[in-house]
Amino acid sequence: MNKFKYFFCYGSILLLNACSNVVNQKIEKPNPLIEIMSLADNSGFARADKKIEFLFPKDHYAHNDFKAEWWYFTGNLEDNTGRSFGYQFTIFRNAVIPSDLLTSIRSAWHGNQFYLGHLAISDISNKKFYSFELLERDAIGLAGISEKPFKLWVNNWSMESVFDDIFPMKLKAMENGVGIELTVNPIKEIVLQGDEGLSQKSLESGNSSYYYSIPRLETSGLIKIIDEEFQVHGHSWMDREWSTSALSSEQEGWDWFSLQLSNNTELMYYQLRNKDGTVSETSRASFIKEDSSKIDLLREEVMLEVLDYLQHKDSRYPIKWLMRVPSLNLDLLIEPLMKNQVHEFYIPYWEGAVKVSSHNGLKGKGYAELTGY
Amino acid sequence: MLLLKSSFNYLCRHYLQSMLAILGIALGVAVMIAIDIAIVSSQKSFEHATKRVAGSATHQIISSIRSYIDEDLYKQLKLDLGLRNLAPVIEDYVVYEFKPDSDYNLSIIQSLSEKKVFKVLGIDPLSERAFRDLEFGFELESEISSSNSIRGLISVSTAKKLGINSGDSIKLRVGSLIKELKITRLINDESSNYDNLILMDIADAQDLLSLQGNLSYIDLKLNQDGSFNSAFGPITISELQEKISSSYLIQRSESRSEAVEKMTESFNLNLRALSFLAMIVAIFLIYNSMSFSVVQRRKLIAILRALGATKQDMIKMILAESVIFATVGVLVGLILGLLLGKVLMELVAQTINDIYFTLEIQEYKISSLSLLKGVVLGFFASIAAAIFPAIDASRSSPLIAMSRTGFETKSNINLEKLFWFGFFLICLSSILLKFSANLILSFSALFFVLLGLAFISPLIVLYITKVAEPVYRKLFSFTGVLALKSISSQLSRSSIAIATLMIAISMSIGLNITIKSFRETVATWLDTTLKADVYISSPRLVSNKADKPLESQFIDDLNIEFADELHEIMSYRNVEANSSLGRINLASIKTSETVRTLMDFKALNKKTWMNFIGGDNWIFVSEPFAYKNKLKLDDTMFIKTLMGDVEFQIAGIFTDFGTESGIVMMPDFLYQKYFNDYEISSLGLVLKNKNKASVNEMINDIKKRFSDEYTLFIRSNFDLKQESMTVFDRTFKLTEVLRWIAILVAFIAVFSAFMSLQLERLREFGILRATGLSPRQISALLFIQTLTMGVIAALLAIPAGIAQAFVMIYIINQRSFGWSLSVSIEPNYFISALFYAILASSLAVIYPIFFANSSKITEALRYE
Repeated sequence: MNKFKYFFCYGSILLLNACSNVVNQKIEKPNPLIEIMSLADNSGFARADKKIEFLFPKDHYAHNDFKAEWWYFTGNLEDNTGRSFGYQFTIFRNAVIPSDLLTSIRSAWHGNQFYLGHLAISDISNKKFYSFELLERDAIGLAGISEKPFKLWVNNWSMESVFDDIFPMKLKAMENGVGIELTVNPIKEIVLQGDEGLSQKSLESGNSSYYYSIPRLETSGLIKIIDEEFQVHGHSWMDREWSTSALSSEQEGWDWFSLQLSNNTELMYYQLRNKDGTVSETSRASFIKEDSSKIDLLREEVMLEVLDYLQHKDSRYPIKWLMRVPSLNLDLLIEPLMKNQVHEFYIPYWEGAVKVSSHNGLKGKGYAELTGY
Repeated sequence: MLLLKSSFNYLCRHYLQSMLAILGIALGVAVMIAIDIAIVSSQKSFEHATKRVAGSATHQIISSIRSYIDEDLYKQLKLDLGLRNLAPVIEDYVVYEFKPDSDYNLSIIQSLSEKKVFKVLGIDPLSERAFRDLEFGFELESEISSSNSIRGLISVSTAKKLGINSGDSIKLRVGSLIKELKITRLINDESSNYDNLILMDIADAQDLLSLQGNLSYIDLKLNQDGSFNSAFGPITISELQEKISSSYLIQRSESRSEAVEKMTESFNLNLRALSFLAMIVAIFLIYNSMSFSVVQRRKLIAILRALGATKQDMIKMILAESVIFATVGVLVGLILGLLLGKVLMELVAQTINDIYFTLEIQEYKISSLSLLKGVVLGFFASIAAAIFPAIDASRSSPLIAMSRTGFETKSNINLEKLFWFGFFLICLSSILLKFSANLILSFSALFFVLLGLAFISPLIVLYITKVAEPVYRKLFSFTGVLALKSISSQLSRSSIAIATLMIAISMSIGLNITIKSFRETVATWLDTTLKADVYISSPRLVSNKADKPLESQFIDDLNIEFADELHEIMSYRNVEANSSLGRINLASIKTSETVRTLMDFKALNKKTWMNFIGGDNWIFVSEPFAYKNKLKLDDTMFIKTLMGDVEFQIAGIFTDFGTESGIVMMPDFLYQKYFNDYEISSLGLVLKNKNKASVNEMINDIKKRFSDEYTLFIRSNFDLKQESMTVFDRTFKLTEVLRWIAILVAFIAVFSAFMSLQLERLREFGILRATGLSPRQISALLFIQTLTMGVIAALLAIPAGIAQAFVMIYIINQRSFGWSLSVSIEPNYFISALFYAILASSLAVIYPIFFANSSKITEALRYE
C-alpha cells in the first residue's frame, strides 16, 4: 500500500504550480495535497473499481490508462564491516490526459506521461541522510519505460532487468556523486495486497488502487557516497501500485510500515489519518508468512502507540511506536535507525529505515513512511 | 552685491539676448540628452529582452554551425553526462497580423500597428524551475504536452493592447505559413518581462515553428565554484566542452547582448558624434552671447573697475551670469531633451529594426546618467564659453575699457595668430585623420577641423572685406562701403557670428553630400545587383534578412508550374555561422553566369570566378567584411562546418550594402556539402519576357496560385529597389532630424549674434542719423552688412562642407562601416546653403532695423 495519492498527485502539484501560489496556500492550508487532489479531473482514466486477474510480467510494466503508478524499493543493507545503510528508490508515473484524447503529435516533446524519481540514502553510522528527486517528461527519451527487456528510467536513474526475465533487476541512481547500484532478486513470492490486489483507500467506490508487493528481495551491490564506495548486501521490499482515484477529502495523510522480521515473516501496515485525528476505517495490515501466504488484518486488529516525536521545522513526526497485533501475538517496538530522514522536497515527508525489537527476542528491520505532517 | 545688481539689471534690460543665449544652451543640452536617451533606451530594451529570456542562466550551449541544435544533445547531456540544472529553449519570432476591429474607439486604433512581432519562447516547465520564476505557473492539463492545438500564454498588458482575451485563437505568421495559436491564459506580470512574448511549452513551440527535433539553445547554470552540477559530481566548462562535439559552443549568456552592443557600436557612436556637433554649435552660440554681453558692458565694467571692483570681481560677476544662464538653459534643455528623446527613440528603434535585428520591446528609459551628461555639458560649455570674455573684461584697464576702439585694436593684432592657430589645428587634425584608425579620434579630429575653420575665418573675412570694397563702392556707393567697414571694424563680434553660421552651414552641406553620395551609391549598387525580375522570400522581420526559409513544396511547385515563363531561378540561402573571425552572415548562392554579372567586385582577378565555381574551397566576402577583418584577396579564413573547421580562400571582394557587418558568400554546392542544408531563403526569378506588364502578371499569377497556402514576400525588381531606398531613407531620417536641429541651433546663434551686433551700434546710428543719414539709408546699411556676412559665411561653408563630407565618407564611414562610396556633389547643395544663410541674416536684421529707426536720435546720442 502506501504512498497513494500523495505521490499520485505529487508530480501534478509540481507541474501545476511551478511555484509560489501553493507555497502561500500551504501556510494557510496545512494540507495542500488533498486540496489539489480533490480538484484533479480524472475523467477518462481507468479506475481501480473491481478485482482483476494479475498477470506477470505484464503487470510489472506501466498501466498508462491509469493516472498514476509507482515502482517502489526500500531496503536495509550493510557492508562487510557491519556498517549499515537504508535506501529508498522510487519512480512514479503520472499521466497528463487520458491517452485516447491525444491527436496527431509532431514534436517529440509531446509526452503524455511524467516520471518522478525519489532517491534517499541513510548513512546510519554517520547519521547522514541524502535525498534527491528528478522530474522528467516522457519525451525524447528523457524518461520512460520499455518492456523487453524491462527498463524504467527517469533521466539517468533506472530500474532495469539484468537478463530477459524481469528479475534479477538492477537499480541505478546517482546524484551529486551519491547513489546506488544494486541488484535485487526476490526470495519470496509476489503478494497481492488488499482484496486479491484491489486495495480500498477510502469508502467512496473507485477510490482504490491495484497493489502488490514483493516483501523480500535479496539485494547486493554498491552504495556510493561522494568518494567512498561500499559493497553492501541485505534485503529490499518492493511495492507496486496503480490507480486513478483521489483520496477522500476527509483524509490528511498516512503512516505506512513495511517490516521484515527475523523469522522470515513480514508485516505491512498502513493507517490513513482523518483530519479530525481519527484513523480511517480503510486502514489495513497484512502479515506474510514464511511461505508467502498472507493473513489480512483489519484496522482494529492492529494497535499503534506513538512513543516519541521528531520536531522538524513546522512538522512534528511520530518516530517511535509500539505496534501490537494480539491475534498474532506480536508486540513490536519500532524505532528509527536515525532520526532525521525527512525528504525536504516540495511537499516534505519522513521516510526512513527503522529497526524492530520485541521482548520475545523477535527482531527485524524495515521502512516507515509518514506523510501529511 | 552691487555687482550682482548691476549684472541683473543689465540682463533684464537685454532680455532678448539673454533669452537667445538660454535657448542656445537649452537646445544643445536637449539634443545631447535626447540622443543619449534614444541610445540608452534601445540598449536597455535589448538587454531587458535578453535578460528576461535568459532568466538566471549563466551559460548557454549553441550550435556553431547552424541556427539550431539537435535536441539529442540535450538528452546526451542529461542522460549520459548526468548534467543537472539545464533547460532546453526554443526562441524565435512570429508576426501577429491583425485588422483593428472597427468597434474600437479611434485612440486605440491609432496606437495599434497592423503588425506585431512576438518573440516565441518555448520552454520545458519541468526544467525551468532552476532558471525562471514561473510564478504564474503552467497548467498541467491545458498548457503542457497534451496537444490538440498549439497553445501559449501572453501577458495581460499585451493582451489588453491587442484586444486578445484568454481562450481566443489568434493567427500568427510563421515564415511563410499562417498558424493558429490558442491563448490559454494570460500572465499577470507587472515587470513587463513577458510583454510581446508568447510563452509556450517546448513541444508546442516546436510545432508552431516547425522546429521538430531542434532547440535554439540549452540554458546552463554554473555554480559559484565555476562548475556545473552533474549526477556524478561537479564538471567544469572545459571538461564539458571536451565531452560534446566541437560543433557546439558553450558561451556565457551575456555573449549575445555583448555581440549586439558591438554590432551597434558604430551606429551609436555616429549618433553621439552628431549630438556633439549640435553641442559645438550651441557652445558657439553661448560664447557669442556671453562675450557680447561683456563687450557691450565695457564701459560699465570700466566704471565698476574705476570704482574699485577688482579683476576677480569682474570674472566672478561674468561667471555668475553664465551660471544663471546655464541653470535656466539646462532646465529648459532637460524638458526639451525628454520630449525630443521620445521622438528620437522611435527613430532609433526603427533604424535598428531596419538594419540590425528585431527590437522586441521598446522602453523609454531615462537614465540619470543621460541627464547628468546633459547637465554637466551644459554647465561646462556655458562657463567655458564665458571664461575668455570674463578674462578679457577683467584685463582691460579702466581707461582703455572706456575707449570704444580698445577691444577691436587688440583683436586685430591677434587675427594673424588666430589664423595660424586655426591652420595648425586643421593640419594637426588632418594628420590625425590620416593615421588614426580609431573612430573616436576621427570624430575628435573632425571637430578640430571645424574649430580650426572657425579660427581662420576672421582673417579671411578681413581680406574679403578689403577685396570687396571697390565692388561695393560701385554697387552700393557710400552705404556699401560703410557696411563693409562695419564688418571689419567690429571683427571680434562679426567674425564669431560668421564662423557660427559657417560651421552650421558647412555641417549641413557636409551631411547632405554624405547622405546623397551614400544614397546614389546604394542606388547604383541596387541597379547592378538586382537583375532578376521577381524576388520571392518569406516575409521579413528585419528588412535586410529573410528570416525563415521558403517551403520546399512551394519551390517545387513554382518550378514545375511556371517553367514556361521562367528563364532562370536564382536561389539564395542566408544563415549565421561561426568562423575563426567570430559569428558571420553566410550566404550561399546558386552559381551561374547571371549571378556573375550581378556582383560588383572591388577586387577580383579573372581566374577567381572559375575558382569560385570550380569546387575548391573558395568564397567571396563583402567589402565591409573584408575591411573589418582586414582581409585581402587570396587570404584565408576558417569556417566551422559539419566537417569541422574548414579553411576557405577569398576569391573576390564584392560591394554590398545589404548587411552592415558584412557577408560571406559561398557557392551552393559547397554550402550543401559542408552544412547539409538544402533550404532556400529567397528566390530571384529571371523571366523570359521582361516587360513590366508581364512581370506584374507573373507576380499576380504566383500570388493567386499560392496565397492560400503561404504568405510570401513577392516583389518586382522595381518595387524591391524602391523599398530598399525607402528603408535607406528611413535609416537616415535620424541623421536628417539631427541635421535640422543643428541648423536650428545655428540659426538662433546667428540670429542672436547679428542682432546683438546691430543693437550694440544704436548709438552709432544716432550719430549717423544726426549727420544726415535717412532711416532708409540706415536700413540699407544694416541690411547690406548683415547679408554680406551671411554670404561670406555661406562661401566659407562650401569648402568647409566639402572637406567634412570627404572626412565623413572616406574616413569615418569607411572606418565605422567599411563601405566605400562614390562622392556625388550637386550644385543645389550650395545654392540651398546660400539660401539658408541669406534667410537667417535677413530675419536677424529685421528687428535691429526696426529698432534703429524707431529710436530717437537724441536718445541714441545721450550716451555721448
